[in-house]
Amino acid sequence: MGSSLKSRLMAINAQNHQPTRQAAQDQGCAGPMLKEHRMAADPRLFHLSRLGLERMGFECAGFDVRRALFLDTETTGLSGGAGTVAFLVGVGWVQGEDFVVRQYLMPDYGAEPMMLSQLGGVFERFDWVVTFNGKSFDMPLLESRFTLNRMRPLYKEMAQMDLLHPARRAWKMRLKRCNLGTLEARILNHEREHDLPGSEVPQRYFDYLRTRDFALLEDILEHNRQDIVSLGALLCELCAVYDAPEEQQSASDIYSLGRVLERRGEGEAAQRCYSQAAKPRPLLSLQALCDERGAREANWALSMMLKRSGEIERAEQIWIQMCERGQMGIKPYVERLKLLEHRHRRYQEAISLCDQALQRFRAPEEQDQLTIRRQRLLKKYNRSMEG
Amino acid sequence: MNLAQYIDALKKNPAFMQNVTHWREMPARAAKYADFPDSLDARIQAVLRERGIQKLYSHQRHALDAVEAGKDIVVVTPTASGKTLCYNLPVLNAILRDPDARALYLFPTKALSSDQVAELYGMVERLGADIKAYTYDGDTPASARRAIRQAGHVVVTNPDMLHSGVLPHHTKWVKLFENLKYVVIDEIHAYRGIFGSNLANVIRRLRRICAFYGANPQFICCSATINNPKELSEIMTGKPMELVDDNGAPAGVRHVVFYNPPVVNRQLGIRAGSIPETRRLAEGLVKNGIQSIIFARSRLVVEVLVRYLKELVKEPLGGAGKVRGYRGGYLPTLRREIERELRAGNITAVVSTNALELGIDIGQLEACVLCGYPGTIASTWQQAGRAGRRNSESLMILVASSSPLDQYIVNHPGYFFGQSPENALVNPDNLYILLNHFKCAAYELPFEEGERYGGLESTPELLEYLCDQNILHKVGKRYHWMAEEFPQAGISLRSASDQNFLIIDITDPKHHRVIGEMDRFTVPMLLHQYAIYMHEGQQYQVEQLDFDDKKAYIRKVDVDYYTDADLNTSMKVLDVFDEDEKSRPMRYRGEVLVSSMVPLFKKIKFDTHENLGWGPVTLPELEMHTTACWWTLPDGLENDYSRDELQGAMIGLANMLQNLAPLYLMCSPRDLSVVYHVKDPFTQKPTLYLYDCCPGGVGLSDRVYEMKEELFRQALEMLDECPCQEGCPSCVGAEAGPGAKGVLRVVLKRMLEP
Repeated sequence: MGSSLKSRLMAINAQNHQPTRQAAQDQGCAGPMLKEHRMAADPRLFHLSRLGLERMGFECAGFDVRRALFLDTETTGLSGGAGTVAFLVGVGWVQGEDFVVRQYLMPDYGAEPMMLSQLGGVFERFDWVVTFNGKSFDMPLLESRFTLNRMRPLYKEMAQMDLLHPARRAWKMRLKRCNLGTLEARILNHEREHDLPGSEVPQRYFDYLRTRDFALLEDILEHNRQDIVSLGALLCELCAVYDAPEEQQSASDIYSLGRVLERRGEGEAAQRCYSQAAKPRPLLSLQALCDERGAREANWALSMMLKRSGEIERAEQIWIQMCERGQMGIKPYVERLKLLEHRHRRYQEAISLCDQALQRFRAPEEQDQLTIRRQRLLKKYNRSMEG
Repeated sequence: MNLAQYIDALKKNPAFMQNVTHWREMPARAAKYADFPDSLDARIQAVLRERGIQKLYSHQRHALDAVEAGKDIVVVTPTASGKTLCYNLPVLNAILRDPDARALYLFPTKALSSDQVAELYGMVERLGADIKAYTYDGDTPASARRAIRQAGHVVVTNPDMLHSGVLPHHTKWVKLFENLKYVVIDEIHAYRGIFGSNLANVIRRLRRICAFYGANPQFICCSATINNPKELSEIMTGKPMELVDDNGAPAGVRHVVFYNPPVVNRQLGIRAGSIPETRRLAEGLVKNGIQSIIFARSRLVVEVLVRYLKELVKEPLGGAGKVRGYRGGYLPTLRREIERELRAGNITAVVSTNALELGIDIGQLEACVLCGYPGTIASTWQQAGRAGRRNSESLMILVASSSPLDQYIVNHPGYFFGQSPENALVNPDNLYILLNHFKCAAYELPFEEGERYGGLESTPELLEYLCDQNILHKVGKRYHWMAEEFPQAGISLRSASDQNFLIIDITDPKHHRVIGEMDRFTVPMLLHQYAIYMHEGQQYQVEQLDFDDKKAYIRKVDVDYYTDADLNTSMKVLDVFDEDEKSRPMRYRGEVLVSSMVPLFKKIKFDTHENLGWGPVTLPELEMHTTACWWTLPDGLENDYSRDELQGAMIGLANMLQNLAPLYLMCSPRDLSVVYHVKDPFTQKPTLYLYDCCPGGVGLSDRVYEMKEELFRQALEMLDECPCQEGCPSCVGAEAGPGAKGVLRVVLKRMLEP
């Protein structure tokens, strides 16, 4: 390639030409830097509801919060491929009455093997790992780092308690977004000050590697520390919510939790949630609008459960109520029409209900559907009159 | 009539024979057999016997023995010679011996991989062994991926997936990489030019990762007949390869016929069209119920021919199904159905683009008609190979179009039959391609000081460069990836530029959809604002070209014109690598900067080709660094001829080189470009440049430089043999102007004079 290689390389890459700076050389640090924080543990951590954990879908036979590790990483990118490095791993655990946060920070890439080996020692002491999106991101990434450093045997699989999914299932309908920041602000009522946006983290670290200006990392360390602390608080909150779903404030939340219970086969509990969520509430705030959506979905879900279990009369009562409250468009009308046509055979009543429904359709398909039904009802009605 | 009778009838038909420029009967070949080697597991032998295979062909045995001896091999045999067994047998044998053993299969297209997995499944099922073969590509559901990574004995994928889906996530594939015994690269001849140069680098990365996990897989490559299979596979794998080319499969007599449609206007050199002629010949075959395949060079021509032939077999009982089309753009399920029907013998004629050239199993047909020369000798033999059963005669008719290339081939049967097939060229060290993959490699595994990527001496320089760019970060003796980007994401293996534009159909405002992509160097020509863009026969108009976001928004239209953009190309020599002023013509090789700009486009009416007007194009000038070869014309010509005369001759010569060079380089005419300067600012003489149409170059112009005067000799010969008087579209091209032929003849003679 000859001596002009460099200039040819420059020509190829002319578009992202930057002033070059000499990369900082190895500082001779062989291991990670450690930073430890100790604070009083949230007392709720010692009384986590087993039922709540189970409903969140966690494996929790023999669960002991003292053997749960809270973990969050800061990485050099989000691709999760072999070139992504977790340069900061924050872990937290309960010790006595305290909650301990310990942060492992790589002062440079050379520190990775020792950091991983120390982490391997920490993992050894725990059986559960509590994360936020760690099941698909943090933990596979760490496993990949162990493999790349030929240290896979030191990586211990712990049972995953990834809070992202139960949080989404409970609050997505109301909050729309379910990232940790939103949950902190809206669920834990904790507003961070001067927080470093996660998207800026990788570049901060690269800047630090070049300049060795440790001040650049302070924000990252603080951001990570808060994430770990929030994991603890979020776990407590989620446990409480899943333990007593129908006691929640928001109809949307109660309905969402009802869905979880229904899917888990807790039929009675799910029905209680749906009934609670469906109770009419005053429309006083913007939040109430969202609650109204929860209420009508809950009503509908409850009626479908009743229909499946053969409690048609109760279901019918709900549909009548839904028609009165104008919930779910023509859906409750259609259910009532089916009953009137096939079960009660009260065609005249059905035709007049059909006419009411025809005032409310939203999509042209719905109109077609109702029109066809009306014609059929009319035929049946005429035939019954003849007979 | 059966095929033999039909061939006889053709021979006795003077109207047909007077257009035949060459008829060659290739003799039948007897099978050469060999016994199963003892090393082959008895269970596999039993399965083969069940399938009626009592013995192996000699080349299959050779392949098995070489692999057993630990060698890396490349198997070169024609279509339908049982090459699949050359890799399936050693792989199955190894897995039966050691259930932990793993193999990776690479096919250039998804269709081929699904075909081959089906065949492998068949073998595995009959073996009754617990061997798992999976396809891993973009269509593999996420839920299945984990199982494949853990348990797949044979993972079948394509280069693109290996590049962006497997290698960067190698830590999830530990089981595969630790136990990888064989890498199979089928259809290796398909990896030439940019695609091949990319694949060679993907393989370098693969071997680097294998080494990390302590594996050193053997490579089993398969190729169609090309001139340099050993060289190609050695560049591709970076290992010495043993060539297995002693084909032991039998073949019947093969008739190869070159057919040149008659000249209808001698003065202008216009011939009857190749499409109607192909239609006539194909109709003859279909009427006689001879199972045939017709190859056409474009999707449009395929559709036109299918329509003609379907008309012919139309009957109340739905005989139209006896004629089918086959091309890219058909949905996979439809393609599978056509392949099945072909194998079952329910289809009389299939009209296809080169999509059926690669080894998809469609059984063997009797006759093959090529509408136009496919572009390379290797492709021609591949397509011809679709017709030809083991024990009976077969027929291949090449119908020439009026393009210079076609005319050269049908008038030079000696060239076609005498010339070894083309070289497949790759240049994995193309700096542009190399740097892209070097970054990927650095992302996948930190480089160590002293490591040589692909054995390259320049590795330390590349590492230093990436450190300067703050992409790598050196700690101790190791170079770590220090960037957020995922370098694999920006690289398309099938073209060199990493900056492809998306083509977005916005006809339905609610549902924008991406219908294609185009590399940035072609975009100004075909996707400028108001251009008419054709896609599957449908016209679209470009509404907006967003150059910064690399998107072109198009909308369906129905107009009676198409657009053609003018391209102004200028060239600057940056560096001269080699020069030879003693050779005739004087030749040079070096690095050039090609700048191209599209100043305007023309609207041209269909059928009449009238110019309906023009419009401006406002797009930035594009620059490309590439390699070129150039020649200067001898002194004194300027005195003997006017500038216009000389220009006409140079247009003609540029046109001929543009058509002839791909013949020798086994590349598409689009891969290179020829420009002329009547007075060149660099050489100060009339000069012709041939450059690689790919940033950094893939080695085409280097190879042309080494060919010395060969191309010019061929051009002169072709000029002399063309029956036209003043120059025609088949020799100097349509734009050279009257009289160009005479001037060019003198110019070429003077260029070649010692």
